[in-house]
Amino acid sequence: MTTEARPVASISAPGREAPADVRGGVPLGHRLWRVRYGLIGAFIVLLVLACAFLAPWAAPHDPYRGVVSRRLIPPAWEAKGSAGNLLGTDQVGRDYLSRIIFGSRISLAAGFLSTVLAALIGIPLGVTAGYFGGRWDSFVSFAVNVMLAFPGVLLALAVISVLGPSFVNLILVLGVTSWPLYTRVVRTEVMSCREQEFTTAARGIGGTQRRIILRHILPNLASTILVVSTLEVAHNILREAFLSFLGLGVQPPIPSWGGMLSEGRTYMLNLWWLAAFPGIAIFTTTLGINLLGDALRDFLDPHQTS
Amino acid sequence: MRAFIIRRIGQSVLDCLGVAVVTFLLLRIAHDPVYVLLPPESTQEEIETLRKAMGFDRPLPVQFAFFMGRLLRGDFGNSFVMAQPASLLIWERMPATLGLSLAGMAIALIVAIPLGVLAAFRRNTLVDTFCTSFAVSGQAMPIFWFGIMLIIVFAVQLKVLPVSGSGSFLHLVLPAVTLALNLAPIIMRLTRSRMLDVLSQDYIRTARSKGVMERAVLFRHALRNAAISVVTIIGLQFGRLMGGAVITEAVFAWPGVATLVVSSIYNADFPVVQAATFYLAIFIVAANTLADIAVAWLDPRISRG
Repeated sequence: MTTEARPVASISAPGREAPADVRGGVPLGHRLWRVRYGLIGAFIVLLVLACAFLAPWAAPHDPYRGVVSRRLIPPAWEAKGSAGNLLGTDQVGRDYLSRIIFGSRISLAAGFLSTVLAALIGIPLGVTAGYFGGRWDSFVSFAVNVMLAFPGVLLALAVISVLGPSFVNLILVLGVTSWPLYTRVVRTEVMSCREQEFTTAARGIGGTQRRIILRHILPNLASTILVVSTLEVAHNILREAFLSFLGLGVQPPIPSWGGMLSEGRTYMLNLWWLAAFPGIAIFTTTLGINLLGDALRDFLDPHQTS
Repeated sequence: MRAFIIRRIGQSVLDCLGVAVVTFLLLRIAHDPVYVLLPPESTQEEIETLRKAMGFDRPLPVQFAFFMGRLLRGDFGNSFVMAQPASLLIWERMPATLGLSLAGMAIALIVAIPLGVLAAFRRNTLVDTFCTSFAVSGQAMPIFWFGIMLIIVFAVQLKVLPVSGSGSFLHLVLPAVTLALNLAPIIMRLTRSRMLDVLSQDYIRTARSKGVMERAVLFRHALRNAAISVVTIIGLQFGRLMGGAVITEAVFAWPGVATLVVSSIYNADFPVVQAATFYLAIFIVAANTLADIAVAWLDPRISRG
């Protein structure tokens, strides 16, 4: 599409244009919305990070200490609520808000550490497969296909059934089952980098393969890796919550959102808040990370506006 | 076309072999597989007997050959808890899982495809913002929690639908909706972006410039060509579908494969876990292969290129 054919208003719009835009391009209001979504995401992520790091100071009560006389108190705004326990208390009289705040530590740690592990496995495989090609590439692609044939959660469940549930095993399992996405994305990206002039030039002046990969190709992957990482962290937080929900992740009495949800489910028939709040925490955190990730993609890769 | 089908089936056979290797290795990541396979109260004698019987004292390649031999006969050993072949237990549960999956997929498609088309066609309007927001929040939703909230609202408060279990059509509603939520956002986003691609093609611009009505452009020109992409999307989402079915079944006590797997994990009933993992993965490989062949049949450019 030539620039002349386009109405003036859409020239300022970023990225590839579809003719659906002929009626006026991306309106300013909509673009501001998009920025605003990213800011909301960043704000949520910062809030959850603050909760995790400042938990001992931010939480009003000890998340492990139950008061028998104060069990199952509803949230403060309900008829029988108490101002001392803003989100009420659980079945052993522990302050629910404090447990939610401490729960952010498990979710973020599991999401982050397992993603780092997945990146450490997936990125080297993707880079070498994309760069060297040939049989190694075929083998890596085959491994990715096979891993993707397993329903992710089920493979994690099966591995946990062999290793037994614990926090370390949880991270191992989530990391080892979520690397294929990195490999697939990085491989494609490296294959296109390999053919570009800066790589040929580096090879021409006698750069070693090691140097070309580390100094020329890897820096070009940074934005892709960042975007994939945000998606993976969010995804792994959801999977951690599910495994803990099944009792196969973090073990009680350590407060984890998935675990709290599973304990709260027993009482869901009349005490809705025990099941509602941990879920809201998981949902908000994942939403924040996804919004931030989408905004990062728009910002770092203007060719791919979606 | 025939060459393409043969090549694609060959590849899927290779994938199945890879799935078998992973299933085989699953047991070997334990320090000593015998302890995974035997109940904790077994005697030393039983442990040694099993070690001999399973061939754990022999080299790994020999073990793998042994494993493959049994696998080709569908033999994963007996369940510890129910004293029946693990494969048999899985196959008994498979119809329930597939039924739930199909229902979930159907709802997801009915909701997501029109929304995706609408969002692309009304790109950058309030409608688009609304649809995209739906997709973004859906993707962030822990579906097991969504399922619990549906139970609280529809089964506990309104009392219009059963809490869990199966038996009637009404039992299917909440699990199927929950499962659909796992798929709808991604299908909507993919449909939207494929549709945007189609709408930017030359023949659409030609149709518009000829003065074809917008509705005709959408239904006669754009949708027909986007249909192929939708088949691809469905094929690619089978893995996600089965993963979602695992989660949904666990929440609603749906009597499918996943509920059995979860209870087998609590009971350390490893043969059942292994058989379920293997069969579901094979099912996904088969579904992906069929989808690829269907796409090639719809779009001859693929099998030739």
